[in-house]
Amino acid sequence: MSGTDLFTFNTFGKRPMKEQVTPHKLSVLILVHKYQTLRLPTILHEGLMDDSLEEIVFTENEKRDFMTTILDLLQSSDIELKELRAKLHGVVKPVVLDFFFDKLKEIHDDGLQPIMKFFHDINDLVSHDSESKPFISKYSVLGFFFRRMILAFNKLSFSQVTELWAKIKHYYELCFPNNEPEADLAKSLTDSVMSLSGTGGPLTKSCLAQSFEGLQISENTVGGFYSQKQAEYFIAQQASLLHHNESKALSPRKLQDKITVILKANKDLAEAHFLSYLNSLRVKEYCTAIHNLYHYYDRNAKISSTSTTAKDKEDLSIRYAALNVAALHFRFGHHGEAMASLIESIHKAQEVNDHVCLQHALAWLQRFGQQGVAAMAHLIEKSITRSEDLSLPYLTSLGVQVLARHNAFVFEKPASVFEYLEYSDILNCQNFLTGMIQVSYTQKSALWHLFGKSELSSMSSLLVLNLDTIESGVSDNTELSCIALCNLAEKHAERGQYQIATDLLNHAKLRFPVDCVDSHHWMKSEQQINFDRMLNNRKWNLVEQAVINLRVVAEDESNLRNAIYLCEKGEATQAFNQLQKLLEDMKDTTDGKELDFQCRVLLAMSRLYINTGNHTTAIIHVLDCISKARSHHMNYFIAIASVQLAFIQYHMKLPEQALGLLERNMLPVLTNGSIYDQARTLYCYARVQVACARHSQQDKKSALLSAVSVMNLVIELFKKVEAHHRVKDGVYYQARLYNDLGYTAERNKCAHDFKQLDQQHPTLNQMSINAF
Amino acid sequence: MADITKCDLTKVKTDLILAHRKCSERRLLNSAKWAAEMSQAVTKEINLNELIQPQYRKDFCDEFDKYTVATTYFDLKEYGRAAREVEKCKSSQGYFLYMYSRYLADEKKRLDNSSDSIGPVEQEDKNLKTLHIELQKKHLAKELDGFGLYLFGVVLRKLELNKTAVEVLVESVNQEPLHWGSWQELALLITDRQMLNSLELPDHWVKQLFLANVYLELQLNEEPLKIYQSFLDNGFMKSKYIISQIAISYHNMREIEQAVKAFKQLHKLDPCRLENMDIYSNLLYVKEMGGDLADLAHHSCEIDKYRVETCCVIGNYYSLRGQHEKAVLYFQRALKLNPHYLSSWTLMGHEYMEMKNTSAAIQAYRQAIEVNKRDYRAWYGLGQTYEILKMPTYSLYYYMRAQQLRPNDSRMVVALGECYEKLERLVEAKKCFWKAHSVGDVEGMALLKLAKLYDRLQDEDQAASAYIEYISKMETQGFAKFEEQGQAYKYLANYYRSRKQWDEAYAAAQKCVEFLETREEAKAILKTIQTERGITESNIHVDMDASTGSITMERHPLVPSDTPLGRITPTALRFTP
Repeated sequence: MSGTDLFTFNTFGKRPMKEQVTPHKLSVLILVHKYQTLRLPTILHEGLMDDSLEEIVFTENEKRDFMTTILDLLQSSDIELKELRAKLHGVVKPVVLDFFFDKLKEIHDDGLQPIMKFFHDINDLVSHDSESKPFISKYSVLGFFFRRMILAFNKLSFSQVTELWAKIKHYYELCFPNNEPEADLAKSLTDSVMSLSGTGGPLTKSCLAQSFEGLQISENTVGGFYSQKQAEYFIAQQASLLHHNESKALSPRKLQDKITVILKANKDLAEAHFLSYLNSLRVKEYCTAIHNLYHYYDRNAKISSTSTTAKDKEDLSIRYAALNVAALHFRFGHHGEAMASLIESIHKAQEVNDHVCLQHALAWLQRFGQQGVAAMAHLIEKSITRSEDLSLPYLTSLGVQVLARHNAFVFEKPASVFEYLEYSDILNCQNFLTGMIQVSYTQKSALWHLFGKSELSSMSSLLVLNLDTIESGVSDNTELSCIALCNLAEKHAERGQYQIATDLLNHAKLRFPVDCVDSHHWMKSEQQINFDRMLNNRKWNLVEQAVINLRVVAEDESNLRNAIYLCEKGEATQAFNQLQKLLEDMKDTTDGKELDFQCRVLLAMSRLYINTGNHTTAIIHVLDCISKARSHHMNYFIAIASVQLAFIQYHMKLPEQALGLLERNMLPVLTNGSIYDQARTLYCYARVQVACARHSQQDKKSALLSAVSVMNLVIELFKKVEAHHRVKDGVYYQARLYNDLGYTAERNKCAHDFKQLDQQHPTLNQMSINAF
Repeated sequence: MADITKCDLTKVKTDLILAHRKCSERRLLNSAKWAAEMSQAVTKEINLNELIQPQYRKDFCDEFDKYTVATTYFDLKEYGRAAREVEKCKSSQGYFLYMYSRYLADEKKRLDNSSDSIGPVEQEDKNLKTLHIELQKKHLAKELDGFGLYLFGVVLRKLELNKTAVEVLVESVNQEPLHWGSWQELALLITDRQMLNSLELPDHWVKQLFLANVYLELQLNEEPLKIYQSFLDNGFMKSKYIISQIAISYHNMREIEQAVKAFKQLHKLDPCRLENMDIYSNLLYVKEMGGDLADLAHHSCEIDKYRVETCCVIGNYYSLRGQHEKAVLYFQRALKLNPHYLSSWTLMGHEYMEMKNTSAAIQAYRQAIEVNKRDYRAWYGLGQTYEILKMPTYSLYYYMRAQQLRPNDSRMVVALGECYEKLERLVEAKKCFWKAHSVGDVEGMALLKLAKLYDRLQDEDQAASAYIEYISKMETQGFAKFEEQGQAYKYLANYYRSRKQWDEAYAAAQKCVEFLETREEAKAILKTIQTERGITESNIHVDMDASTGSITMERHPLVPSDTPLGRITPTALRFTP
């Protein structure tokens, strides 16, 4: 008994063959063989010597086309003869095709003898025994393929050869069911002649139908007879597509079908289970995912006798198994389970001092752990130094980025945050981590947004989309692109360019269909943009719809927006309850990640107080917001909150103070704010200016005049974002200004405008009259 | 006449003889064997002459030559040839033989080809499907007799059309209640008791045997024992089938002594019988009866060395001797002989575990699961492997799977509970141990673990009552671990002492003294009880010697010694294959 026998896990105690002769591969062999014999008449066999063959000359283009087609056929999975015919159609000379089908028919009709002879013949193509050079180099792609096939064929027992023949028969009959290929063939030949002779030939109906037919086959057949090589290639390709550009990969259902086929043919191919796991993650199918993951790692364990090196390997896979299980649980939101698995992985890694695995575990630990805690920063720093020592650039870069993010949430200055990101950028550049570069830009975009620089945020998003990520013909299409697109859409919507925003979202929808994992990003953005627009438009039912839709993808956000909606609608009590609840929830979370959300809740609360005329209480929340924003360097929130404070001061008859505050804080709002915010700020500024000027008669007129011009701008801006009720407000105020100035004609015109607007958009509740 | 006690044995025997003839006419060899064996067990005089006169129908007589040739071909295992001979036959025997040989020819071809197949066969079940279509046509025309229905059921089961298969098989047993093959096929399709109760079965004494068989499969071990006993008492004294079934039920109940006894009896009755000997060898293995196992292996090998059972027996023998490589080889051979012999994979997994080759063990268990997803032993084995690798969280998944498959098996729940305990998820662990106790604890460990857990959770009342129940259970069952019991008494003594229930505390401490490990501590406790009692109830005098020596424990050390995991080793975990 030999040692290896003991560890063979197959019912029959044999290892499965890695390479097999299949009908499709035989077809490829025949094709190449025929091509060679026709191209080089010197090696023509006696029987084929014929006058008609003399004139066959292949142009360089034809040679190239043929070779690329063959390469494609070698690398893809087995296809049916019908599909093969469609593929070869127009690429290969009709003569070759003719011979090819003749040979297949011969094999089909005459049984084993032709196959045996054929394999004997092709041996000459690659073997050295004759004095002349072989016709196919031994070490070329085709040479390897030929030799592999010859070897595989020679290994077959007689009964297996008969089985192969039965398969070929079946394969052939699928294409020519009535055993009468001639008529069909003739048609295809004439077609191919036509397409060869003319420049493309006329686009006839039959041509279209044929190409369509070809497409359909590839859709329907579950795909051929996989050898291990083909299966490995397929798995690697699909996995990489899933990672980089999900939409290019097969759809989940088809992929699963393919995997089933592969597993049927190669029971021991553990990687197929992993692909199945990835596929299940795509559709968020927990049960299958977890079964597949466990299955993969069980099967993946390296079989060995008791030698020590192999033992290490086996442990290795177990460590990463636990790590992957942790990742899986985290993805499905099972944090407790994830932590337990992670700890187990760490234990196993510590047992054998596997620092690389430990670093990976640490990276996950950062993800699981509480954000914005000092202990976390310490952990990340340690992880960065260790990863650097172990030369794991990916983890180092990731760690640096995480640290940057962490710092952004804990009172660190933006400059230092971006310094870290720059370090990460250097690492990415040095090690060509394309993925991380994208992550870095996305991170920057988010951070600029947080710090209140919307232009820079947009620019970073554009950079994400602009990166050249094409790798082997497939450009990246990851979650990051989706986020970037959504960010840009939102920024455009803020500027009142609703059409562009919609276009961007539609593009996102195209790239990330609804059943895609990342689709929730654009769903969220779409609803938010809808909400803002419809709120300005006062279309309450649509606003409500948006709130409900949003709840599916982002609950907190939806609650906040619901409160804002209620507030605008005038249902103060309900709005207050909602906001109060949100404020209470906020107290519990120490998480830093929702800083801007917290500020927005505070602002909304204060606005509610303003609208109900309770200015003193409103101040508390505004100040709270300002202090929070200041501690985290969120410039935009400082500015807009200050403007809101100024508005309160104006109402409390403190216009001088309000004016000072406004003059200090208007600039950030006007540069970075949304159009609506800008308009509100300017409106407030105009009113404060007028209020200040009332004391001295001299300034009054000039103040009124400048206020009028400001109001022109305000009205224009409000019109841009379709906020008609605010336009009405503005027109009314302008009318008052003209009245004070004594410009009756202008006043009447404004009054007329107001009248018209009021008919279209009547004011329904008194709360919105005093709104900021 | 549903009950065997009320049956007329003469009638039973006559029926069995007729059934045997019907089955052997159709070359249903296993069912014929069963009928013959059962008939042999009934020792009643009957008038054979009358029975032996065959009464054939005319259509059969017309086709008699064809039929005879076909049967000879069939007996020589030339199934295709046999089928050709009886192709156009109309008689029920001829038609059945035709279909049956086609089915077997297909099976044989598939088995032969699977060893050197190249890639997947596209139309693997093409022949089965044509058979299915033809039989379905006949079935719809109501032309199938009981045997035809049986074959239809078998084909349906192969095509995994289980629901229809059950219906058809029920129909079949209603028509031919004495065809044991149909019952067996039906038994394989029954998943739970509810399903069993919903079937409309014929009111026949065979039904009892069928029920017993299903109960065995469903691990409801008490009931089949009762049924089999009633058969034994009513004329089937020497039935090998019934004795072997009894042995299996004892084995399932982990009544090892009884099971061994039954198998010995069976062996004596029919020394050349190899069926179920693999289970016998498992029992001998667990009892570590090396000599008997060697004899059995020797004997089986002489009868037929190319039998799955023989390979299993020899594998077990080598495993017991610690020659695990050889054991693996024999299990592999068993698999080569019969790829459907599932437990071989699991047993191989156990061997690899013994060889400390965890990854190979994992592979073997996984193979077992691949062949049959419902193989709970393999799931359990995987869980245990990962637990040994110190990955309790990871092994939770496997134990859960095992427990799902066997919701009423305490071993799975205990394993799950221990994992939870290791992960400090005590509430879940508590639930598990409680469940293990309530489903009937096989190893008797659940209560003890529950008690310890309550102790850890500082729920003293619960802990004490769990200990009390543990002790009373141990006493009634008559076997115990000294150490554990000592600990239990010690805990109780301390518990009562803190409650100032002096008498109980005193009694518990007294018992504690009986155990070696806790003797010294017990004495100390006794002393404290004495003094503390003296303080509180100084005026009451207690006669110290009154209660000593009144309780003697019966001790049957049966459970194998502790492993690092604190429970039976995976190799000791042998189930019915």
